[in-house]
Amino acid sequence: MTRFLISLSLLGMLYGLGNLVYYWDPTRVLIKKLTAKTTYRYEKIDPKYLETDPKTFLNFPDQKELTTKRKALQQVVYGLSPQFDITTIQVKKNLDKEKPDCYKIWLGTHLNCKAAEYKDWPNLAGIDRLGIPIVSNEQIPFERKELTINYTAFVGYFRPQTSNGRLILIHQGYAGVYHEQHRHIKNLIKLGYSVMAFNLYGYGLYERSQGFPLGALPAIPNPQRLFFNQVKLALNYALDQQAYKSVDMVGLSAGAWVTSVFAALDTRIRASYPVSGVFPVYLREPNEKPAPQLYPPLLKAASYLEMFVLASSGKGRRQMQVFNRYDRCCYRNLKGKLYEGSVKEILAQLGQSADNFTVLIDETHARHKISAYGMKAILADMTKNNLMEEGAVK
Amino acid sequence: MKTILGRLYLALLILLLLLPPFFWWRGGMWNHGELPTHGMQNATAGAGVALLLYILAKWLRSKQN
Repeated sequence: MTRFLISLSLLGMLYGLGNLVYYWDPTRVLIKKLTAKTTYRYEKIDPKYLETDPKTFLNFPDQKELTTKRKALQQVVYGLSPQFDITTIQVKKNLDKEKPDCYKIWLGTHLNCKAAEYKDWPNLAGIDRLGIPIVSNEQIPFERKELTINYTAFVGYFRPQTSNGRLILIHQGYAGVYHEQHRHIKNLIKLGYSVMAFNLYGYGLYERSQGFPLGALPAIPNPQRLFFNQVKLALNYALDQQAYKSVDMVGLSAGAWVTSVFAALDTRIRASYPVSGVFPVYLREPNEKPAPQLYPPLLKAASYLEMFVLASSGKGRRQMQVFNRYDRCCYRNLKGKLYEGSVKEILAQLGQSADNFTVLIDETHARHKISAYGMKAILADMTKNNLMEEGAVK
Repeated sequence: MKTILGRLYLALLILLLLLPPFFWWRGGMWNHGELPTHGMQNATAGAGVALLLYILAKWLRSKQN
């Protein structure tokens, strides 16, 4: 009997040990390296990617082209006569002081529920919820009917008690909500940053017309605004509330895509940090091609490499892209390094600092996340920029 | 020899029980749809059950003696 129990105990120990080895970041990296089907997954660059010269996607004959391309992008995303009225934003202040209102949403919980959990964070003054109407009473044809449609996104606005006068926008990507970044947000609040947190269109808490599938909403005119208008309006609201000294943006996965494109669109973003979520199209693998990111008018207005240049141009502006080399999901390997030099070269030709654009490879884990190492590098970069900077962005 | 092995095994189980929460606390095993929780819970549960079974086996043996 005792032998049997000890054998079972050994099995339990092996199960526990196996899980620890599989999930602990350093051993997980080793497992992923050893089990990779091809060396091109993490270790070496597939020669097919070396056949393309990144400069063929970088067309900037002169400095004026920066403005031309930015305007073209803005037209594609926002339309010809965009309206950004911050009075339409429904603000619910200090949600953290209210009784939590919890009910299930897709992929987890929402701010109404989580705010009470965050209320004891060091240096937190309050958490506001911004309801941002992206589509308001628009008529579109759907299944032989004319439908009136609405879509409102909800954004979390985390305010510190003692502020350093700087704002950080954090954007989550697919398959998750921004509450997964709660440790990073907590740390930023502790450091005195204000934080605005965004979910991707269709994720987290949102309101939409009854009987209208999310997948059909991109049929509206200028569908890219579904991704970018909430960021633009929330930023307008924040700058209306306080003259922030700087606005930086961090995004993970598809949130990194939003970060890259939004930083190219809007020069109020000083530094942008897309993490594991954006490559020029020629470097993308099949699971790195979601339809909104390949929207033809967007790519006609500017290539992704050109967007990186746009995001890194202007006084004090820069972009640091972070890629997880052993990412189990996507945007892995050292591919980000293949175009870094070309973007730097074009920036120098345009009279900008080549150092405005950098690519950082994170080798500390094998996950699809903003790691402690990645965030430390981002914070170090922000602090360096803060020290170098003078004046306010408003 | 048996006692030394037993003590080493016990120490290993206790270490295994404590390591996942330590890594979780340090912030290395969490985030983005891959909350550490499932990995941590599995590792801790395995070590916890192993520890309980081992203690039970030792107790039964001491009763038999």
